[in-house]
Amino acid sequence: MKNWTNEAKLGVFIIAGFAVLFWLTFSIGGKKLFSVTGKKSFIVYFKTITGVTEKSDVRMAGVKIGEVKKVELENYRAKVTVGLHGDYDVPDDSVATVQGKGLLGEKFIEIRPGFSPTYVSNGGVLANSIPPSNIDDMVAKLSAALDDIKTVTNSLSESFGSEEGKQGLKSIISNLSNLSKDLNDVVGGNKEKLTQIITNVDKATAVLQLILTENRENLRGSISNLNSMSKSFAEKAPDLLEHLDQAASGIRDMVSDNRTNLKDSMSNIKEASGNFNGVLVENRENFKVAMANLKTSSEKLDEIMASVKKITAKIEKGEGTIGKLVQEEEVYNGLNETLEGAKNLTKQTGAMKVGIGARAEYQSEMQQSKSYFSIRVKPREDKYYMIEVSEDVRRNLGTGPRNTLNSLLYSFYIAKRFGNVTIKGGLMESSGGVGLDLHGWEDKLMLTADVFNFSGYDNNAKSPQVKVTAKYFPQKYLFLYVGGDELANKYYRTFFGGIGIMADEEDFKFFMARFF
Amino acid sequence: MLKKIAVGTLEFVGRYTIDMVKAIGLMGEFVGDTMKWLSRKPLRMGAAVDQMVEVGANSFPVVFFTAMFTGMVLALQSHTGFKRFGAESMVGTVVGLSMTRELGPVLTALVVTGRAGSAMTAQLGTMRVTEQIDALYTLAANPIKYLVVPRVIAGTLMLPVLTVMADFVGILGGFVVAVMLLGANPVLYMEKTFEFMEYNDMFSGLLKSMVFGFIISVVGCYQGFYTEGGAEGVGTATTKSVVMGFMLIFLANYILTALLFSNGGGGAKF
Amino acid sequence: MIFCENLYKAFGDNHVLQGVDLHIKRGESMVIIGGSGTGKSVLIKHIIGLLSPDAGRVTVDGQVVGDLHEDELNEMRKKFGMLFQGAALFDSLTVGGNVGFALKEHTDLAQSKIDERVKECLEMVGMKDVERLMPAELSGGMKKRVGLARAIAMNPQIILFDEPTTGLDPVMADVINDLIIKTTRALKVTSVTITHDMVSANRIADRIAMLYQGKIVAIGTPDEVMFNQTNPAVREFVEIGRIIRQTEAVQGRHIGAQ
Ligand SMILES: Nc1ncnc2c1ncn2[C@@H]1O[C@H](COP(=O)(O)OP(=O)(O)OP(=O)(O)O)[C@@H](O)[C@H]1O
Ligand SMILES: [Mg+2]
Repeated sequence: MKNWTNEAKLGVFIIAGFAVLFWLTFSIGGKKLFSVTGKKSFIVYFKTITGVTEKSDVRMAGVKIGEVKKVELENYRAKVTVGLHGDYDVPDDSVATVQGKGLLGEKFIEIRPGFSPTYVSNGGVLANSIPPSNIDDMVAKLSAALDDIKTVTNSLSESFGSEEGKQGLKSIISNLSNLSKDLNDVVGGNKEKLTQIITNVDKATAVLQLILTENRENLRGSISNLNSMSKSFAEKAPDLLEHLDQAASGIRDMVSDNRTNLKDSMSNIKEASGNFNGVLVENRENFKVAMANLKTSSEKLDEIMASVKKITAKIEKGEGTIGKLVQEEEVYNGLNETLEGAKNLTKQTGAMKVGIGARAEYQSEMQQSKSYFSIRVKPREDKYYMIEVSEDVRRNLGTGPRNTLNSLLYSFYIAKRFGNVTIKGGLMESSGGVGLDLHGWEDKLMLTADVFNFSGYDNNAKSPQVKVTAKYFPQKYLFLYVGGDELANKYYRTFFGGIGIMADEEDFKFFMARFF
Repeated sequence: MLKKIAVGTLEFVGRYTIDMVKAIGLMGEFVGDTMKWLSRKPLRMGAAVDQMVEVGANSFPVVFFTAMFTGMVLALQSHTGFKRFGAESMVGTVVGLSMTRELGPVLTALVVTGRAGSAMTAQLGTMRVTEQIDALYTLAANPIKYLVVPRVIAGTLMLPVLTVMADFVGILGGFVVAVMLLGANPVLYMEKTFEFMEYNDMFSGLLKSMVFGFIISVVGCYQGFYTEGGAEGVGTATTKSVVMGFMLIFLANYILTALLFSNGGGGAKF
Repeated sequence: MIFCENLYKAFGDNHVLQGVDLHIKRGESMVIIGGSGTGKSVLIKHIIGLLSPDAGRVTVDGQVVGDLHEDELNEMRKKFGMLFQGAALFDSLTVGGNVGFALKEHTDLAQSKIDERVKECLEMVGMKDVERLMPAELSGGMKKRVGLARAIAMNPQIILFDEPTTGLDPVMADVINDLIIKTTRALKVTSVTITHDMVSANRIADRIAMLYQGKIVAIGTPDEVMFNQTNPAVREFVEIGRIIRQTEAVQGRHIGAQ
């Protein structure tokens, strides 16, 4: 360089500068040089078009076919004029959607081609458009997960909605109602014995907690008693739809056709439950109360079953919490996010399982259904976190007209299992609480006692909320349950029965294949 | 006593203001003179070529160094940030846009101010204190025409050239780090670099750099031209020139950015 | 032809010129003497328009320097040649480039003619083969002589010399003195020379003016300034000059005899 003249140096420098300028210019404009929009254009209306501006890409199958020429507001809708490049044509039944390039990339309009042989005319309007979802494309990215959930819920509603399902459900319900009718008859015919049984059961549940904690041997005994009791109702009931049906009709047959046998069974039950209540047999006053309770119970049973039907209908229609949960996109999205996040977590930790569940119950005193939505995160087999949302139906008793909007209750608690006992603690129905689960009969049976709301619910209920539930899992993912809530508070005390599902996310497919 | 202090303060404020107005006036006059001689022919292209080599070609190594490492650091830093929400592919975009729109022009301007602007001040200052500028006058040669105009031409024309190169080198630096160190896909990186870039991003950067070049050379010459106080004065003038140059560049950068990018254009894009 | 009328000039609180009146006739050799820092250099910068007076005016050939437009000022300056006290050579140009600067800028001469003239001027100041050197490679005295060569290159009508012999050896100082005498006498050039060198002043001056405390306190022929002064400051300043003159008179070698 030393002997170079200044002119030569400058020449080299300038030429290098122009070379770079040319390269940069070409790099920036390379693609755009050929993308001048042609004469064809059409109009799409969107409900909302956030993020799409003039010059935004218009793509079909990911290939750029044009760009947005103009975005205007017309009748409170976004009117988007799309200019097409070259010879591209768009079938007139295509659907325009707003998409994002990647997580943070700019928005573009994706045209999903239709099948129509005719094209959108120049200057015409493409009728179909889907607005971008509210929670943005982060959620769109998780649509795979969303689809999974959709399938599940679709199947769920189909199974209840399809003729077959409906028929099945109907027969279950009619069987159950027949059963309860027959039960009433039985009650009429066997008042004495039944009263005894009921008293026994009543007493048994009252002291259940005590017995369970104090006497493990007795617990085993009672579980085997319950076992034989259930056997009398439905022998080896592994699958719900078939076997519950059979069981129910079996019971009915049993009840109506074979009264003597029933009597025997009754005495069996009486004998079995007798272990619990030796001390209580003499307490006649309670019998009467129990009798009265049973009468109500049998009436309620009918109601409950009718309500199950209502609940499922509601789910289908998208009413109530579960209904909302399964129908509303926003909830979906939130759920999906959670699931997706949990999924990632699962990937990282390997063993973690994420389960989701839902259940609906009919509450006798409220004469209303209450539904729950749950997410169970299981980092280890013996430990899980439960997140649950439900409605507070008690409000309908105390204040205001019925069907006013129920406030939501949230639970978030941690649970750890030791052998057949699970201890739980955390937030339960929006207040601090602890609980105990007892598992028996190869985990097909679960007895739950939860105590929370220690300072009481309101002036009508000053004692802690005590909730006792018995769940029966005829099958891994499905359960039926009965129980009582607010047992310590007379005002809100209620009994309930319901049906629910709970399955780990990766088990869904298995679940569906087996169940539906 | 109190009166004295009060009057003294007022006098100080007054004198300071007068000095400032004078300096602004002088500067304005200087710029006006420069513009006048810029428009007069013949331009002394020989001197301009020398200055172009000085400002342009000879500044290239330090601009190269600065832009290269800036691009590399940008890639590293933005990668760290973007990784946290899985947008690593945007590193190229950030490096490209930052370099062309902002860092290319501004860093080049700062580097050239330090290197060539200060040299201009030192040269002209020395000429002033050794009476060479007076000598030019006595030889009926206007020093603005002979000394200032070629430097202003060189500064204004060479800054964009240097900036283009800085843009390129910065993008290259980011590319090297992203591909070699961070394992980015080279093709995707380049694609992302230019995917969101528009002509406006680069050309407004170049327009900026032209203004910067003008500022650098005018300030450098002005400070040198009015140097007083011998060798020491040359030192002071050089410092002043760099400080004033930096401040005016930042000020102009803001104004230009507001003007160039504010109404739509590339500004709204990212 | 050059009139300085009542010139005042101050730099801040430093009142350098305080009413200078000076008339320099065409073709004469005026020597300005005065103590260091009295403002001699400032005075001649006023003559060529490098400085403008706070009050008073300078007239050159009937034109008031302060009233001239830039182009007129340049035309006027083309009549001048000026040697700066510190030579003020352009660092970035060679010796040849310095000497030939004005020729190149203001004439249509071919480069060869310019080179010829440059060589001639350099020879006049006693230098040879230095055209390609850069000013930085020259000694102080050499710079001075190159500056001198640059000042006379355009054959100016008026030459302003700021201490032309300072820093030169006596032989070379004589060469320069001869050069000044020759150019002034032969070419009818008006010259204004600032000097502290009384030998030089004796040899080249038609008239001598002394600047003291911002004013011209003595002006006249060398004899008048050196012998007929009552002002003690002047008498003291020209002491050496008087001795030299008396010696020369004794030896019959005074200037007038030549
Ligand atoms: N540009 C300037 N700014 C401020 N002060 C100046 C300037 N030029 C000269 N002076 C001051 O004016 C005074 C006269 O300076 P000048 O150079 O004319 O002295 P001089 O008579 O030439 O002295 P010397 O014989 O040493 O050359 C000095 O005090 C100097 O400090
Ligand atoms: Mg002087």
